[in-house]
Amino acid sequence: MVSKKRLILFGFAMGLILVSRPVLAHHGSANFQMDQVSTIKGTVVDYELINPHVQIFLKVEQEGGKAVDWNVEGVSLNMMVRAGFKRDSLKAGDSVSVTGHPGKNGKPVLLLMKIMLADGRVLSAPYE
Amino acid sequence: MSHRAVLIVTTAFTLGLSPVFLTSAAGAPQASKAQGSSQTRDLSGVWFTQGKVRANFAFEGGAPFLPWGEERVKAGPQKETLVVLCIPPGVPRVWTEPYPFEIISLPGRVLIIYEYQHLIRQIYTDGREHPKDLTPTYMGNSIGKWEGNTLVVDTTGFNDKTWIDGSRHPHSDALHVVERIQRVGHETLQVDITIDDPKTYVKPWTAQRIFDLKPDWEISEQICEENNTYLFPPDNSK
Repeated sequence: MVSKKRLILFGFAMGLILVSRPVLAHHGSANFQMDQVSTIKGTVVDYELINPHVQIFLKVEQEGGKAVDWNVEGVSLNMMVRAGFKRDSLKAGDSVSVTGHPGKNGKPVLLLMKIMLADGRVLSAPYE
Repeated sequence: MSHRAVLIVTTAFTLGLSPVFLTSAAGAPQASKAQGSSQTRDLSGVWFTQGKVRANFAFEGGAPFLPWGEERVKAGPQKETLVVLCIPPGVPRVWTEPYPFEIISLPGRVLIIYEYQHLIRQIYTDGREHPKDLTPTYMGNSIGKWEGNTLVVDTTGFNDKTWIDGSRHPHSDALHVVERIQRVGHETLQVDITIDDPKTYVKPWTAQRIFDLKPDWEISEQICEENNTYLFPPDNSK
């Protein structure tokens, strides 16, 4: 019989897994369709200038009014900063347009190629 | 910050500030005869790769595996991937990482500070040999000598836990790497890498990487552990 203590531990572990946001995120180019290019327009929910890969979370309005959460992945903080990304380049609420390689699994993920910021400036990934 | 990180940052900072070290690099004795197109022994600078990051070093026709190597390939990548756990990439895979590195010359030593994981390679150029009975390590033991203006780096004493390149070709603890590093132009660094692993591959071969000088770049902080756990489950396809 499973003890209450073990159940609590299991529940805690599952909770940890569920709250880890970057479930959709992937590593490197292996999980993206490098021969495909997509552009999405949306509103920034969060922007994390972190290693190993910079993350941009967007809300994209679909036809019919339903919004979908997208995860745009950049490369390392170090190289993104060299490409002109700063900590205040993006903030929640900004309207942006992102072009990149879509994920192989059909999920709403994009490997960043370039982004048009709210002020019209365009920043590109330093490499793909 | 861990003790190791503090040590690395303070070491790099101190070296970067020291005019003695910088001038000694610039003033390194010139060989009487330049080899190839290399005009100087001054390899100092911050360098970044040309071409594809995470390169494949196997030569045309595929890697010529011996049975031990074939078994390693069939077994697939290690259960825990190096990248996710922030384990050093080893040599020569370190040359395929999408981060810059800085070369600093000291009397009797050449240092390479890789931004990736802030690894520091010490290449002893004071004439010493490899220590006997080396304890296997991820980055091996490196000694160097000058042939003309080419720094010839001999590295051995590896464990078998890393890969040769970005395509995860395996190697054994018998791996022996010779890197010929030369400045073929003021802004161009050429590294020819001879890979010899008689336990894994039928014969040695040589791969090449070209790097561009980045005069405006500095080696910056890189904390591999920051969010690497988001990569679980490890992506074994790279």
